[in-house]
Amino acid sequence: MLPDMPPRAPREFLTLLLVIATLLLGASGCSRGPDLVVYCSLDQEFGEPLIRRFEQETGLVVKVEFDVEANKNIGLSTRLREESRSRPRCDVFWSNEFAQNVALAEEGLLASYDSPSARDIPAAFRDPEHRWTGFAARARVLIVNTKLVDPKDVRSMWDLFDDRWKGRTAMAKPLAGTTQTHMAALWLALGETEARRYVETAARRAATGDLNLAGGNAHVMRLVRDGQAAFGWTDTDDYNVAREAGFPVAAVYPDAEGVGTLFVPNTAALLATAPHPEAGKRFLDWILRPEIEEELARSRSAQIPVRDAVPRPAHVADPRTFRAMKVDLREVGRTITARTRELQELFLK
Amino acid sequence: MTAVVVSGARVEAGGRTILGPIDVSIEPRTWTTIVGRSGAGKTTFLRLIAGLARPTAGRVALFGEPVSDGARILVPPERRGVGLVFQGGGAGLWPHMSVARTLDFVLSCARVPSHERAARVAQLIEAVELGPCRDRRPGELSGGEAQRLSLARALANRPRLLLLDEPLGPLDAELRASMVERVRVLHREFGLTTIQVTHDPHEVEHVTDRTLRLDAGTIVSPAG
Amino acid sequence: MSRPLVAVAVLVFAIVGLGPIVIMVARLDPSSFEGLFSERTLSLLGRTSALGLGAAALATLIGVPFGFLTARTDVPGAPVWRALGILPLLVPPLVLAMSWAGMTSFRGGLATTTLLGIATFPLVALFTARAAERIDARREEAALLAGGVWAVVRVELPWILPSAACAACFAFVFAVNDFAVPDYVSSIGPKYNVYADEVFASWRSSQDTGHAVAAAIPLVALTLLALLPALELRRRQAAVTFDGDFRAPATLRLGAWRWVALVFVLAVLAIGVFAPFGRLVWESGGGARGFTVDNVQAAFGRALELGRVNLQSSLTYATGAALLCVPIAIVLGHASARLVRGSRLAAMLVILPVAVPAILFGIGNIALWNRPATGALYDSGWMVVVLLAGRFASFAILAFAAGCAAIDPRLEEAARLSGAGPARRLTRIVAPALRPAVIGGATLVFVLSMRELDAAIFVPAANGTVLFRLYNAVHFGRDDFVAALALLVVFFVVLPGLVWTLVARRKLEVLP
Repeated sequence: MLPDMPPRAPREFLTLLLVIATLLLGASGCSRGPDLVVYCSLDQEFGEPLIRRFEQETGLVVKVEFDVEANKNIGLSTRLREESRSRPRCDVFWSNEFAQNVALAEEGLLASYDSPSARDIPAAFRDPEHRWTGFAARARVLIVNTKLVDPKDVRSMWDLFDDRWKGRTAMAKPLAGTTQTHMAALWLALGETEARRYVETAARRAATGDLNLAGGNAHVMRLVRDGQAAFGWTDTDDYNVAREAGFPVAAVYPDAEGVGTLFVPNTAALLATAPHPEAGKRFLDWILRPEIEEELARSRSAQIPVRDAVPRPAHVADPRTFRAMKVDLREVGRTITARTRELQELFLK
Repeated sequence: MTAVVVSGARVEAGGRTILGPIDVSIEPRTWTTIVGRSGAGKTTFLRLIAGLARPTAGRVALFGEPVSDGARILVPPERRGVGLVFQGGGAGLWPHMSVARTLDFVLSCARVPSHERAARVAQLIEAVELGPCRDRRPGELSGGEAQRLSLARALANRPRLLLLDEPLGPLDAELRASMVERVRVLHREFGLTTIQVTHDPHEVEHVTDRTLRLDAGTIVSPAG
Repeated sequence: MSRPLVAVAVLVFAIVGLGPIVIMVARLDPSSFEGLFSERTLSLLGRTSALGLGAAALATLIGVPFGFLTARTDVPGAPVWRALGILPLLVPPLVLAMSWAGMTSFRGGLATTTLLGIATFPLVALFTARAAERIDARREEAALLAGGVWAVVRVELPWILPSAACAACFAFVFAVNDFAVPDYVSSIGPKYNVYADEVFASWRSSQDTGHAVAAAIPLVALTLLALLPALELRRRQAAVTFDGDFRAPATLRLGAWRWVALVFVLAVLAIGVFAPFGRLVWESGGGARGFTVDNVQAAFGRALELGRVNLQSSLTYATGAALLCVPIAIVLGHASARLVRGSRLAAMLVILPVAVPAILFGIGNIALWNRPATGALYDSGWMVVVLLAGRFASFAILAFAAGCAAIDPRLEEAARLSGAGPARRLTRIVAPALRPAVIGGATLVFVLSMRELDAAIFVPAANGTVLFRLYNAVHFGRDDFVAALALLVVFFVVLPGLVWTLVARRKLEVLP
């Protein structure tokens, strides 16, 4: 009888497992933890330099995480919600719009903090319970290709459906991002009937190709700047990218005598489960200063200060010179989920 | 002690009995030849003894030790002390291993210390006259060379039982004769119990101690 | 099979690949399914099925001949074309779609199907090539003697099709889960919505994650259904073509037909590689605003300056994921190929991580790993590795399983009789004999990991990847930077293999 040969684990497997285990162990937690964690959905190009400056000025180590524009802010807010279930990580959520922070506030995920830096920010841009604060806004504008259309001929959001420009107007699919917020705001600004008429018309024309539905505002900007569309909805930061690159474009703030232009401010908020609340408050105090609004106004993203007194370059709109849409941002944020379901039914066919 | 005892063994596949019921005893140090037409179950019989075919009934014992009982495998193939030369030239040879590496691998599986392995590999290679081919892979060997490598591999760990599945198939007449002689020498030298499956019993009648005929999965007679 | 090894591999795969899915599925309740099967969503599903089938069919139509011709025949320049054929896999489909959309006014559903078919044909080509290389020379020679090259094709096609069908299933999965390409391509003209839009929108429109998870189920079911024909084909037609006496097949001589074949191969590369990549080069140099070589240099310089660290991170994560998948693929690929019962279920479980929407997989990873006990891992770069390995191990497992299905079981039996235990047989006999399949599967994991972001974005360290930087640059209309960065990714990944292919005598078997 042959002697027993107990099985031996193959050398290769053991080696590979050892390497993997070492890498996994070695990679975990080998550096100093941060003093502050910020989730920022403003573009990394603009958010990161500011945060690094905050680090230099305060000596705090900040871990900042950004989102990709394709995710339309869903990535970070979804992460926040998930992480809050088991192991909160984030201290401050700096969103480039407001609807997500309103939603998080309604879910009880945000802490109340009345930053002294925010006291001169208009009340319309602040949560009454100080759970989020708006600053440095974008405006919803119609970007116009000046070689195809005289901007003076585009005055209203309803022009998007004018048969003169059939097949040559564009907007982003209103199921995410500022377009989604915009449509939700229309319900409050126009009333149920008119708002429904607007979105239903848009959906009908998008189905036939009379209105071009792009993946996002940046894409609308590309279509217009390249002449594939005559004009369309976008945000002022996207418009500014095309303007600075020398494309023949202009921005129209429509419905100056009607419903006006929606402003979409950045909003910053302290998380209720923030592991470093004091550092979070310091950051909010820093980021909500007028100097930051001025800096963002001068940047490529051309964010519009919500404070009238903040200086801005000439190409950055002054809200006093055009009609702002009068809506309660909180109400927009509260109703956006229900509106999105309706928009989903209309646009996703 | 009887080398191989098969009692009432049966092997089924696809709802069909392909071997059995079969009863046979084989004495140690003997050379037994199994003959029969294609599809008679000859290869299955060898695989049953090696433990590569699972029986559905009956018992198999090797050198007094039960190795299977019904469908239960009591001793796995790697512990039965069996060497098998597969049917078909270089069948079952490892395409990525050279001749020397193949034999070295088999010896390492038996935990032969590395300082001994080199010498034993050399011996095996010499025994089957594959010296010029030691660094070649199976794909670079002729049919006869591949068959000799199969034989060397089967014998490397000094099995007590050698199973040969039509080992002469791909060889020409001259090679057949030399192969039979080579195996005969090794059979005697190592005191093996050898069971060979063949179509042509005449080639081995001068070495075989006993011939059994299989037909439709059962032993019909000691072949005439 | 070694039961302990298989158990460990199953456990690892269950955790990294299935764990994130299970944890999300646990959030389902009856109310999650309300409104799921409306006329609207069924219509979207129908359209998506057609898209997936169309893309897979096109990928197969192109990929099978391309893979066979470049791997097995004397088409002039075949090794180079074969290496170039992998390039579309290295670039996110959206970036390719942007290139093509910039060159043509072809839009709508047909354009989307065509683009996704072209973007995924390399998968089919790669699996086909490997299957064709595993055919014993003598089998092929017998067919050649009987009826020339066409007889060879007819004889070998049934052996190659199971692998190609498997790859086509992956092409289907990619096509039905992509919403960015349909969105982009139908941005002019009638909108072409797909079910993946519905899944993404559900995450936006519902605070209830159960509902969003439920929305993904029809898409997953569709994918698993698409897998069934591939599995059936493999079961019926899988042939042992690789045995101990294996002789590598010789290059097939096509005679005058080699020029026709060359035209076909170049045409495929022209549409799939030269045109979009040429466009990327043009964009990097300024594109419509005026192409100059100086602009190209500046764009590449900037891309390298800003993206170097990201590139390093991505290369590290992708390599880690590929390495992690190797032992899992060997053990599970072998085990699944040798399964007597339950092989279909096993295959479905294996493909599940890549069949679920990226967003579901990504969020599932948060739910699974963001806990006090595993927090350090979650916060680290290795979370990206774990996520990528979990997501793409399917490719490596199925690639190796395909190889095992073709290998002669007598190779293992001989090793068993020699005294080798199951683990040893696997690592010394099976895996080395199928080394191309091992390396190929790992390479696929690597390539797909390099371009992955949709799921990875949900874990912290993904911020550091090159795709993250690239997508954000897309948003900002930095076409030259995007183009340069995309090309840099391709360059760093492909260059070593391409150079080896050109100069080395021995084939570098990194191509899957």
